Amino acid sequence: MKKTAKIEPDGNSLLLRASAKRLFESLMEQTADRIYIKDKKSRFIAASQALAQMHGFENRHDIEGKTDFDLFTDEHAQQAFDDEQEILQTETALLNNVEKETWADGTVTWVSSNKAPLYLSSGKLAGIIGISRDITAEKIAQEKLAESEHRLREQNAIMRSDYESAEKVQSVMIPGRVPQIKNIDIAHLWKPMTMVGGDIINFPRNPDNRLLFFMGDVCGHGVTAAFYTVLIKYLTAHSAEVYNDNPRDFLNFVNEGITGRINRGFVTGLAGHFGTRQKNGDRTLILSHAGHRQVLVYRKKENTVELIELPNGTVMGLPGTTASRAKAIDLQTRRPLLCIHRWHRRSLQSKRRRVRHEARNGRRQKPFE
Amino acid sequence: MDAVKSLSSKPVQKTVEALYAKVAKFTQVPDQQDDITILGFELS
Repeated sequence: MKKTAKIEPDGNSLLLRASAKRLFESLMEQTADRIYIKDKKSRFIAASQALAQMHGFENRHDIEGKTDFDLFTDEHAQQAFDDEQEILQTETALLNNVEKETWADGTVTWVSSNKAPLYLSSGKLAGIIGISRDITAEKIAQEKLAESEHRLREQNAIMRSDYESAEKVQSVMIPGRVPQIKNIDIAHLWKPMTMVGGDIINFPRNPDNRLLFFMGDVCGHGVTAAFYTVLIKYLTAHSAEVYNDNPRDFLNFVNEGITGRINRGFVTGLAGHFGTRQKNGDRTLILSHAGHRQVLVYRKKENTVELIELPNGTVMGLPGTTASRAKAIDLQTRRPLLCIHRWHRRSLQSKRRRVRHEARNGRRQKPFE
Repeated sequence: MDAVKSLSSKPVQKTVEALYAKVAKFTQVPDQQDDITILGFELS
């Protein structure tokens, strides 16, 4: 005779055999959400254990018969009552409603609630069914984020204002027009990366009315660099007052003035003056540098461009640094000299890499030299 | 340097501006990556 195996019921079959009432009880006892049913007068008929515990009741049935006026301050209770009466009158659900709960001890919590009209099986309107979820932590995080954004907007406005102030100051510092000198054409181009920059050009004169020139670059960008250019302008003006025909001394005076005054980084510079004009129009240019060693000279007669290296010199603003020895460059008429401060070095390097890559792939482009 | 030679017939201010434009066109980089200053002198 064949023996029949005994089959133990699994969880699913137990659930299927459980009554709807038992399942409802389980839901109300075990859910973490605050579920409730209220009558037409907004009195609790049923509530989940989570809701009861939130209000300090050990048994969820203890809350039955109470209203929000028994549990919250009038401010929140009245709002909830009004919402529920509106739902009953319009028979329209109120979904994803964010409610501020104010408690008698002054505590504030936030919930996202769904409330809907509750009908009996006959179709008769009987009350309200609602589910609330605590979103206090989320709300606090949102408020902190909004506060942080507000602070950032304020700081941004201050920074913008600082930029505009710095731009106004710098527009005075950087010459809009270069000096007009007989027999010397002077050209300049000054383009900051942002609204303001750390580059400076200055044409101070010494007590003998000799025109000097200085171009410099404060390491960094933006407002900080721009305000350091004000210091540089001041120092170059003072250095010019004691100019002794040696641009190296001029730069070292500036260096002495800024060393220890710049928080981070350094300053580069190039300074010089033109010697007396010869009968044929030729002149000597006396130059010294602090971190800008190269200048270009175009010789028109020979149609050649010469890259002139100045003697060794170091940047300014760091202890122990000194400008280069002065170098005299003989210039003839119609021979332009260009001093270039910080060309697109990274851009040029990047472009050269692209050109090499294209050359390897058969696409040729003349490199920029 | 070829660029400087090609611009030699222009006044020095025009040379400086054309040189900047030429390099900017060559690099094809929309944002300037650093402050740029060029100073030019020509004896006449």
